[in-house]
Amino acid sequence: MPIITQSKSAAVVIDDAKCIAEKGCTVCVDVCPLDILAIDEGRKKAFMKYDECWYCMPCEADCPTGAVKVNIPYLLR
Amino acid sequence: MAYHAGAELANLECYQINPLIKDYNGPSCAYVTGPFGGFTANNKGDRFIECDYWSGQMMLEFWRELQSGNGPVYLKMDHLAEETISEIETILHTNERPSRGRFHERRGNDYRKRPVEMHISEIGFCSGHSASGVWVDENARTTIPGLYAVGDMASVPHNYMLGAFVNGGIAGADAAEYCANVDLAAFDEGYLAAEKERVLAPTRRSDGLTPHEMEFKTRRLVNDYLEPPKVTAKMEIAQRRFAEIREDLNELCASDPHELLRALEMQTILDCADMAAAASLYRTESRWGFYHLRVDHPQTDDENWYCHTMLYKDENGRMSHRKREIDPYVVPVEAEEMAAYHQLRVKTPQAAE
Repeated sequence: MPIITQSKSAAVVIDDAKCIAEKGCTVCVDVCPLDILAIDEGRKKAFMKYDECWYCMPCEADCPTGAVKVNIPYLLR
Repeated sequence: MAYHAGAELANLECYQINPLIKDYNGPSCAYVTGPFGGFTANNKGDRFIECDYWSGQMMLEFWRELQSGNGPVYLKMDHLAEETISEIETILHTNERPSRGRFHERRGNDYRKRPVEMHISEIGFCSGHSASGVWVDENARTTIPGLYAVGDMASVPHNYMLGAFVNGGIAGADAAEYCANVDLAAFDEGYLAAEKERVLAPTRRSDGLTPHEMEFKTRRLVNDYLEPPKVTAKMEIAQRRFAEIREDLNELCASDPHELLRALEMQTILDCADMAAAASLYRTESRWGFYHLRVDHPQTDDENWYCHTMLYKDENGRMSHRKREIDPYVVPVEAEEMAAYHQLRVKTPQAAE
């Protein structure tokens, strides 16, 4: 069967103005135990790539510029 | 992985099922709040269990309370003093699950005003609060020479992080001693190539099924057919459906490294689902409260089943079982003390203070 993609809301929000991924920072990507964050290679900013967040929050706690906010996913709110 | 390596796994029918916060991936932590005066209560605010510590018998009473119409079950703290609740909040909202305060805040759930709703989790293999896992001896050796297991995946019940660290130390020392006396084993190049092909197979397809949907379906069948109370006919349906999913594995696709990780995890979950069904069918009695409550075999049968059950892959690659005798207790336990496990329900429900 062909594979399709479906839109989802991202519970982990990155403030692009504060994110310093363009300087080589990958802290949030590295600390995520679920491997759900990534750096957008075009924009050079972090983003939530997979809808599998466990809201454990190391990404938010360890971000050196306070750019990451973890929200409780909508289905669980 | 241990199963495929040929190691024996013990007592997998002794599932772990946890009372978690409803809709939130975390425990309500009655054992944290207990020393401060918080307790597990029914919808009338009454205690119904003598001890909030997680066990199969505790979960049986939890489930019975839900069935009785006295549910949901809550963690009650609204009777406590302000400074006590503040202290509890500081502990619970900064340690195990720091997003917990955020979850409660979004729903306006203040411990001072409302209790925390709890629910029964999915089943799992974890010796943390049960007795299942890869069988190990006192040196953390599995039944495969040179292979060790520690932590919640080993059959060392109720040992948590401190136990895992101590057991890890014991395993490391014993493994180092073992390694000093053996050379590196020879291995089959053909087997290595076949295993590499199996692992990477999902990356070679672009049409088929996604790891997410195959995992979701497996988990749904586990919830529908394997959750206690265990019914033989339902578990046999589960086995047939798991076999269908296994046939679908040759359609599993992974488009990037993350999806490959999920594809491999999905296959492990399917293995665990098969083991949960097979182990549960093998032990034809009920034991460990809710963890192995078999409707078709409701009695505990010490004559035939006071033993470990060992699950392993036989020489033909089939899932097999055998019994293993229980070693004598290192510290003798009085009969009266042993019976406490079965007397968890509060005799006369008391009004909340």
